[in-house]
Amino acid sequence: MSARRTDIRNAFRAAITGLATTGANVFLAAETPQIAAANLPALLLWSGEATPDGALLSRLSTVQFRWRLVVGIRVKASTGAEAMVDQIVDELRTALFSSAAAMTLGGQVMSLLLAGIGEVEIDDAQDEPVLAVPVFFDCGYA
Amino acid sequence: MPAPFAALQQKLNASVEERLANAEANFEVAVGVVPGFFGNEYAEAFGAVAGSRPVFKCLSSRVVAVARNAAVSINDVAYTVAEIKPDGRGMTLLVLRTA
Repeated sequence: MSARRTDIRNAFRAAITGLATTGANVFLAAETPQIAAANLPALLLWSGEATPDGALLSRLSTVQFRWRLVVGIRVKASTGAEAMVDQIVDELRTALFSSAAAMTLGGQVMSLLLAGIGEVEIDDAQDEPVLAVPVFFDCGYA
Repeated sequence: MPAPFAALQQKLNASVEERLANAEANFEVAVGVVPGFFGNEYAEAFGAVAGSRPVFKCLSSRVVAVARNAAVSINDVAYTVAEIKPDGRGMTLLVLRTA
């Protein structure tokens, strides 16, 4: 039996796999030291901090956590790269919030929140600019 | 007339170009075909995204009319000039982007 967090992460990864723009290019950051150019655009997934949810502690017997999952968008293009990032953000929102089932990752979490979208970073070291944008999600689970 | 050292530098640069150039850059503008050194070394973005960084180095005198975003073809691959970096000793490095 896998750990609770592993189940959630796997469900989250499955939910964001198959987007129109990034397709199967979804990687766990901890297992992917290098992304080939052929695998872009891509999504990198890593775990953020998990904190006890104080608002819920007082009225529930079980401790609930708010766990941050971060999706790092990676895009490489000479033109239209930021528009591609915007498109991917929209596709993420559709994949994760289009239905009640999606918003619980198939029953894995109690809540799922789009917590923020980070600043666009640009790396000019290659033949085309590479953009990196973190998108933050908060999962509530017990 | 260039100072003695500058003249030597010019002679050296011309000799290096003549004997060691490994590619020709074909500029669409009036510059025409320029011999020089093409490299496309491995380069990473954000420490994880694999790729390469194409550059072309040649005599500065041959690319005086080249501006940023100029179109150029090297080894049948189309690029645009992203950055122009004269080294102050008669050679210029052009940082390229895939067109």
